Amino acid sequence: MNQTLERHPDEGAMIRVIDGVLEPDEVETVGRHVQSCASCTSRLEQLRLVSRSWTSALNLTDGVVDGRYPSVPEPMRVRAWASRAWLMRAAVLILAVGMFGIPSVRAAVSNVWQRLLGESTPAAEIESTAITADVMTLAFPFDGATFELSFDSPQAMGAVFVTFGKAERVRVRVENGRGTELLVQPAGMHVRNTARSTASYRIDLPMDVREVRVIVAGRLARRLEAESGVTIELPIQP
Amino acid sequence: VFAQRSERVSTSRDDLESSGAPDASVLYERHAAGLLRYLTRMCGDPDLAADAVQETFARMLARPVPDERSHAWLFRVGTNVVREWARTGRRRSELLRAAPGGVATGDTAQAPDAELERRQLAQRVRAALDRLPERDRTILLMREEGFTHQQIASAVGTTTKSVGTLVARALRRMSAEIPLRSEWTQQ
Repeated sequence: MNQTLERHPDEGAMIRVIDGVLEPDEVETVGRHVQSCASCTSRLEQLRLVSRSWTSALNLTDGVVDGRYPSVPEPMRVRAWASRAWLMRAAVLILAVGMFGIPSVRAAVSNVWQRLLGESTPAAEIESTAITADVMTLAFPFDGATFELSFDSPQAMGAVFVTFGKAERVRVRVENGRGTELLVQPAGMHVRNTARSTASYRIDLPMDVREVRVIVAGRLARRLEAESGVTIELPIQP
Repeated sequence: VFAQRSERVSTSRDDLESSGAPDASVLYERHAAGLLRYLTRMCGDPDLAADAVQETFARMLARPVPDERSHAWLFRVGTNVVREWARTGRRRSELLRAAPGGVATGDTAQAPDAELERRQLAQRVRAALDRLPERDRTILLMREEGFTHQQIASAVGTTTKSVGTLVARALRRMSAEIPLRSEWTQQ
């Protein structure tokens, strides 16, 4: 036997009808009542109209907020990051300094030489992924203890997330991070530029870290697309 | 040696992927636009909302959540971030404002009268939205983002069945403040 409601359903039930989320026990009772009751059918249509109008009203505020138009993220491409020309310049620079015999520099020279000669592991190449919105991810396997992240993002708001897999200890030395906020967390860090600035971080990682991901997001990413201001230094051997 | 290194790296990657922790960039691509829209509607300030989106994703990095819960989690935390900043009086001047002259949202050129009317209507809607109690605003905005009544109920701390009643009441309140008209988007 079909059950119907003796009384008219309340507006909460009407909203559940509109949203298609009636409880199983309500489908028969409420649904059947609304179909057979002209008054409720009219109420339902009126509420549906209000609901649709509300969606339209919200779309209207999306166009203009506080007298301004929100900017629209542009699709972006990731530039070729670690180009051979860049490597050559780095090699010349490090070689020149390396003449002084500083052990850590010698190690870096060795690293760059290996890359130039193609002796370094292919896994050391930065893998870059272009994402259509306003995010780019650079992921590279990590086989050292230190790497350097620097960026220049004048008048840009955004974020750089750096994740280190499951690392629990991260030490970051800020070279000149004026105007930036740095939040170091167990498994990564978050850099946010709050002023026109150039920031450079030298990051020491536990030896068990094997992969680093750098995620540039938001307006900073869009800015970087135009200025190409981020450089990710090669992982430096300990 | 290099082969060993490569093998070790790929093993590490497999571990990361099999851990169930969603990739932050994938989540960003999937949810950031909706979260930005939601938070902008919530607080009325696109710059503040954009910063709240970044903050929300930064918190997610510190405390990864399972993929199936990430959508609701991001919106709940994003709402809390905006609320915290409002309560602590975080000033806009602390944030770097985006350079003026942002790109219009792809609208076709409109006659000045129509544009003016559109702006006035938008301001009235914004003002009415600001006057709504926070819980009602959250409910309406989450519903617009396609959350289920159960997820909304969980976010605002009520029962699933009462969400419909709260939505209806908030809609009535909005339509009492401004005459809602479905044809606005065609203007």
